[in-house]
Amino acid sequence: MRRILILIILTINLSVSFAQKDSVSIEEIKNTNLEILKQLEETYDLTIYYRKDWLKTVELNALTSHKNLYSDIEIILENTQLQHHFVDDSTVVLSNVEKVDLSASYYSFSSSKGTPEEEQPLIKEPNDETRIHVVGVPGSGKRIATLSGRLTESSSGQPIIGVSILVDEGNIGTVTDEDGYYKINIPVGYHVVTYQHIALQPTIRKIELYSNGSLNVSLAETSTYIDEVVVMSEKQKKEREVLGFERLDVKDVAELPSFMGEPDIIKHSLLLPGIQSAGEGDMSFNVRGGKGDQNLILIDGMHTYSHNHFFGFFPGINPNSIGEAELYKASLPVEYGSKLSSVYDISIQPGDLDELNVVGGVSPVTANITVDGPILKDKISYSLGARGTYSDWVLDEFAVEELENSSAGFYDYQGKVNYLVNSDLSASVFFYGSNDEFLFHQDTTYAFSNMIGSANINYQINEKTSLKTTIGYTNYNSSREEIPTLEKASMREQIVQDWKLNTAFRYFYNNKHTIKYGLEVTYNKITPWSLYKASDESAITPLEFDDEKALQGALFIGDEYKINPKFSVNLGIRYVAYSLLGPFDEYVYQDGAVITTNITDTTHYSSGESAYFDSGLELRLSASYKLAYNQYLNIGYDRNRQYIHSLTNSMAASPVDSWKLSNEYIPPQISDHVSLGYNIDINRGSSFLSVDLYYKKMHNIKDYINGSNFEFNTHAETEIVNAEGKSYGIELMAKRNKGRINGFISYTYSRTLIKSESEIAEKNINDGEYYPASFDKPHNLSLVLNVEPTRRLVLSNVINYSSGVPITLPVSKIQIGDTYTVIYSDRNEYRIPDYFRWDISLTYKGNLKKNKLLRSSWTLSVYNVTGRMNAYSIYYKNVDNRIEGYKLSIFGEPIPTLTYKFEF
Amino acid sequence: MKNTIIYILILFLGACTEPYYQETPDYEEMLIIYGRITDQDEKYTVELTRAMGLYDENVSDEELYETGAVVMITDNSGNTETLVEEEPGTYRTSGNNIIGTYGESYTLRIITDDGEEYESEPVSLIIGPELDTVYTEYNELYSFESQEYVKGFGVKINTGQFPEKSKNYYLKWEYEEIWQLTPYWNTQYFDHDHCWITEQSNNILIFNTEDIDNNQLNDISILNINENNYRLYEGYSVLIRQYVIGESEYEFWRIMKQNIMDNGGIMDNVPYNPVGNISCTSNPEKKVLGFFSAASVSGKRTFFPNPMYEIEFPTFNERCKSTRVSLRYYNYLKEKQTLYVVHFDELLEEVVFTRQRYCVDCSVIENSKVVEPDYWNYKIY
Repeated sequence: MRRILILIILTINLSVSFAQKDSVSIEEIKNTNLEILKQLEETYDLTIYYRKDWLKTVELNALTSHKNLYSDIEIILENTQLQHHFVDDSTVVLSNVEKVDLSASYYSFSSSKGTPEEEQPLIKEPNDETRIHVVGVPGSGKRIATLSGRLTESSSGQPIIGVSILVDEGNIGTVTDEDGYYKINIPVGYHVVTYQHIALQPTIRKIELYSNGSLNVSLAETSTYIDEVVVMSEKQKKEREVLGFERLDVKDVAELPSFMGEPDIIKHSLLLPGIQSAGEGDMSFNVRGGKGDQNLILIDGMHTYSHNHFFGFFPGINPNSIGEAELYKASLPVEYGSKLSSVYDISIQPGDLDELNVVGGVSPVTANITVDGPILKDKISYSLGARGTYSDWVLDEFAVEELENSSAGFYDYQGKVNYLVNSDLSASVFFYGSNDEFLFHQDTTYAFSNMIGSANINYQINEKTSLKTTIGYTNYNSSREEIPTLEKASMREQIVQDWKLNTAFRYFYNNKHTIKYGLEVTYNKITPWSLYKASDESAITPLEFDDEKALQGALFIGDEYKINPKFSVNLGIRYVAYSLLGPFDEYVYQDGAVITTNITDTTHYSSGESAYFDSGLELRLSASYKLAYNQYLNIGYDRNRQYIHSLTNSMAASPVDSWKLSNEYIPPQISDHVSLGYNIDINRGSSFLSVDLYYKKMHNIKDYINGSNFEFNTHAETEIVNAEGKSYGIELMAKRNKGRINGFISYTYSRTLIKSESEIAEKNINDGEYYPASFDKPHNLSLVLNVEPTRRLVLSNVINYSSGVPITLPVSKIQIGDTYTVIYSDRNEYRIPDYFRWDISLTYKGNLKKNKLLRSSWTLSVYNVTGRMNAYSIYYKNVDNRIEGYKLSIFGEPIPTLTYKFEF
Repeated sequence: MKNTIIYILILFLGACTEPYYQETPDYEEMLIIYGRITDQDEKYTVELTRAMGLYDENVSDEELYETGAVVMITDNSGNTETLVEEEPGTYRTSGNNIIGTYGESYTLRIITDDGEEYESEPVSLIIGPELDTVYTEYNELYSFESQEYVKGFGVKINTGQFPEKSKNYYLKWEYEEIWQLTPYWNTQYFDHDHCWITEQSNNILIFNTEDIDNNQLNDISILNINENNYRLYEGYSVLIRQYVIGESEYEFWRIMKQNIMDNGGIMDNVPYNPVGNISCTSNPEKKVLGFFSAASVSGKRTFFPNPMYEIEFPTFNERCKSTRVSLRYYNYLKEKQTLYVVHFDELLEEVVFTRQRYCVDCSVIENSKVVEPDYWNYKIY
């Protein structure tokens, strides 16, 4: 009965280069110094700071091809008076060759990205820790050099034994011998060397290693305090300054344990504070107390109504094709709206402009392939990907007779063409499709599909103004076909379609003001659940309903106002208008009491007429104050409106939910959200702590009367309660980005409560008092911990603990007639047991040499290591007149997966 | 339908189930009422019980039944009949005053021992289809318990014509099983040769004709009997009763049924309690759940032979092994456990005994009667 699945996943990443390596990839660049530097910055995602006057007198060498960052910089600076210094991985400061130290603030320098925003010098006084030590002599031609030296105690001058010496991130290291000497072979170039001893103050040395040489260091028992410096990229800065903003990196997700070898970026975001789901099998996620339908999930600018396969167990988008994902749980950008609680912006990786790449993989569940490359070199690129289940053999592993007549399958595909017209204009076309199908008992087929198409244009109109336009189409189709007999063959289907245009201008007025303005127009069309004959012989009576159509428009303007280097505000305002378009039949309810028995009449709106109009302003305000060089305090308020609702009477979202547009009786959902955040970078930016507080009030969120059913229901409003909701919480996060032990821990305490108060008895849920929403999980703790004992071995842990979700439980047993049955508590009065899961993965990497033909790795991952039987559902049955409770767990045991991955 | 999705998940992901127990703090006291008036000239019954703790077992009659109440049925012509409490909590008419008639409406009134007054909404009988035929159909069903297909047969019914084709009918079926049992050991110590054991259906079988294009209902499964069913061994009969109920009663049972079936998944409907048609008039805050039903009833009794469809049904008396020991040893054993003498061999001073009382005395089985029902028409082997 117990099944332990050992799944072997074979992921083959083929990277075939069809470009001729010896041909020049950068040709005929105008040899001005600025452009050379800009090119380098773009290639390696750098910011290079320099003094403009130095560049006037030198002539940098143009690159003919890219090799690697260090050699490229050396080539550029060869035979010039300039020298480069790495402040961190993405910041380079140029200086005159004589002036090695950085005592002069490089903030007075400039770069292609402007001047540093702050006048504060990097380091006030140069010292041994901050200046760069040159070791050896340039021009040795060696790639590896030996760094040696002696460690002494600063006051006594005695040698120190057992000082550990770590280079850069700690991948290379050694210790001093009995006489305090050390010796280590490292690549030439820039390094940060850390000297640590348990009894002494640690210190660092920044070195520029040219050839074999020595560096003696003395360690002090007490050390003078040195101001820490945090230099970060624009991207990192956004995470600090924008409230509720998270950036997700696919690479990080890919290294964590995943369910059956399918990395899922959206699932991964559930580990972040403030993002939860009702449990395994919930197809959506909840951001700061928002329901699952309140997330705007954008794929290359166009929104989607479903983002996963197999009832939420597998990601809907091929992870190989995701470039970047950004999540806003507060401070929604002014150009985005239409949903209440979050924006999840996923961009698809553009094709390579230079060479053809093929990446493929096989897991027990799916096989996938992604191909990208140039159509017209350096101008037009394409990217195509497809992924699908290729067999039901995993299903056969489960010895369940019923499976013989059942099957499950899904696939998805996407494609993108990018056209770089010139440096000011680029355009892309994107399409995505996904399909899920389950044949169940040979007579019922569930099918869900998704289709997105979009075109994006980015245009730098002039020096100050740029434009970004997206035009797109999205289609979500859900159906169920039942063919018990040909006479009873029926098919139910719902289609949601949107057409959208979004145009946003960005205007750099001056250093202080950046204005964003534009408009968004969306046409929604919902074909409600309808019943069709699934065969010609079918004797069922079809049920078809009018499409629901609406037009939504938004005008927006926002100002990013940098008041001073420490204080900036973001002021945004959106004017939103909505019109439900006829033909539409609106019921008239006696005395305004919206219940089925009160329908007295119908108002008919003909085609083109507006059946319901609503408009309003949405404010997006936020401010960021830099308390210190490494600390930010952020505050924000947003109001959002939502006119399309997913109706469900179950705890979690499911594909059979009905989508509905606002009408007279189903007013828009509105949220007011205030939040306050504080964050601090410590240890030179290697660690990060944040605290966020939020309070959200939601109006007209959709709650449901007991026993509601929205299929074939033309008067959904009689079963909907326009409820009040509130959510509040505190979110804590501690992160360590670097080092042999890295990861993050996040804890959220939050509550989400709903109040459905009405004079109509059926709509007065739980006596009109606030009660917990079905996804309310007060405590939520996540831990991601990566341990890298050697460069080849990575141990990853993901631990998730949360309170159980609320549930309505039987409280007493009754005998009525000859039947025993149960009486239930108030709605959501109890909770299921707490949730806990620990996933682990151990990756062993083969040879890491870059030029090795074949690179391979083994990963053993175990999902749910402790085998905890987390409750998916609790239900009760009458067994011989005894009421027995059962707990159903979907993953009641550890699921090990072994992956072999190779790349060439 | 959403259950199906969970089912798919179970199938494909291999979920597992374990018993679950959660303390639900002291439940609210609640009076449970079910009463029924039919179109037949028969005794009408009203049962008053109380809600029990979810896991309570062996609840005493005193705790379970609401005794000593005054229970009355009144019709809209002003006739009233007070019911007699024949058994604890079970109140019956004497069958004289009030007889269910179409067009009349009836109200149930109850005054409990503690003085609280309850009253139902007025209810009236609905003309509907009658139970027409009962038939059986051989089947082999997959049993998740034994992980194999099990032979058996289904008992199904067809109804008669609907009186009005355009109308929706709400039907409820109940059945009563009765089987004959002969004690395995016929001894001189107990004097019943045979017993007849009855059992009432305890599942909720309801149907709504809304989606039916036909003018009658066919192929409604009432129960299934498989090859392991020992009740058919000596003689077995089922009485199926069909009630034509109102829409609100149908809803009442539908919710009850839903609440006791698989439920509680995150894709399931959030469960809730049904609303009956009885309320406490003296104290509206007082919790009560009850239904006073008016239903047209029709019934059919069917007998099933053994073997049937070539299935030999097993005997109930499988565990009735006997043991033969010396009298001395028997006396020693008797001190420690209850034993039932099958035979005493005076000559050898040996005792043959069995450990189960039903092996010698079938009257101890619950709901067992020792008098042959007058409709019993089996020949005993």
